[in-house]
Amino acid sequence: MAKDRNKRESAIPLWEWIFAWIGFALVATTIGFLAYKAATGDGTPPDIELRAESVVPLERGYLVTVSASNRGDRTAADVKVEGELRKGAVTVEKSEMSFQYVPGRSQRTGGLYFTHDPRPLQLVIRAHGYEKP
Amino acid sequence: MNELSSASNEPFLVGLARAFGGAIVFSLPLFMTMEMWWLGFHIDPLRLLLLLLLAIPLLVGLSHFIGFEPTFEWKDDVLDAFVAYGVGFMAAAVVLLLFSVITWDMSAREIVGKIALQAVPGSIGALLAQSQFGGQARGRDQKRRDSYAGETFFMAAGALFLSLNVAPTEEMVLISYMMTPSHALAACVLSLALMHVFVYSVGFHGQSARREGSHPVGLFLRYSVVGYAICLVISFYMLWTFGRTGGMAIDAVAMATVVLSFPAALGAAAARLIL
Repeated sequence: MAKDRNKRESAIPLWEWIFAWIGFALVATTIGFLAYKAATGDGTPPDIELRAESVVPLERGYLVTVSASNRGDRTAADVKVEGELRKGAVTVEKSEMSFQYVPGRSQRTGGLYFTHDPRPLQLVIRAHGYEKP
Repeated sequence: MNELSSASNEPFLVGLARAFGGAIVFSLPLFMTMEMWWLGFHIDPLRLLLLLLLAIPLLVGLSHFIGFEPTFEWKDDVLDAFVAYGVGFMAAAVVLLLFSVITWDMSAREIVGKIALQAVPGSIGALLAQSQFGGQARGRDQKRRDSYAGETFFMAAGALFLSLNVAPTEEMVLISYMMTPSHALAACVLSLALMHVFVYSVGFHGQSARREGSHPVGLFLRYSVVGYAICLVISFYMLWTFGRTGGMAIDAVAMATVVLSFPAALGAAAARLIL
């Protein structure tokens, strides 16, 4: 490293070597990861699993927090979600929301508002559809 | 600090701090662009991989002309390029974490995609920081830039630099939808004209008299036309990388390319000013 070159008396500083190797490692790891994903990953279509996480009483009505987990590899955009409160076979109330994006193998959270207390009722949440981004 | 090389480390560490500043300053618009975050998870992994690979020669080339330090040989340039790349990655990670664009419950694919995509403009900013935030020993760089290869490389870098900030946005395609073919033609002519004006007025600033005497038509062909062609290629490549060309008719792709080539042409022409 210390050999003399072109009127430049000092060698390449140690820190430069360290940071260059860090940079190289980051780039190489990322490229490797992406190549692995390209070869194996992006296969399965979006598969949205919805779960009602909690019920929060508000000043006006109730909030049901919802988590959407995409079990597929591909991203779903504009995922329409509908929540329905039922009492037996009777629909008491419907509510809807949408997730802008639910990336593959990832989770997003949101909420549905109801005027009735969902706790004594039966809550059904389902995803209507999505758009390919 | 390290006893062995503390004397030579200090300028490097100052350069490194500048690089971090540059990475954040230059790519802040992109850090704060939502399309960039979304692309992080839905970009085709192979296209992102290609972008990351192509950035390496770009960074080495930039380092050859301007860099953390006046470079003397290719090993230094490659080293500088990877330092800049590392800085780009780290700056992207820090800023995206700060903005809560990446959180721990996201998948590895999403986190890696978001950071890697932002690391490319970040690393360019890191390298350019040296020329923007001061730095000396420019006489040598000026000579290197003067070659035709150097000029075209700088035009390409300038085109990329300015158009990268807008390329991922929805507006590129939206503008092309609003334009008629005559608008697109006018955009082509105006881009070309602006490039030529810049080549004359800005390009010659402080340059050798050699090219001042060269034929105007030759100058137009060798710099403006070639420069605009570079802009078209770069624009198309970026639209393709960001998934804006999929399922679109060839004329719609051409229109969007022309739209993006407008900022690209300004960047290419003004490369001497902004780089």
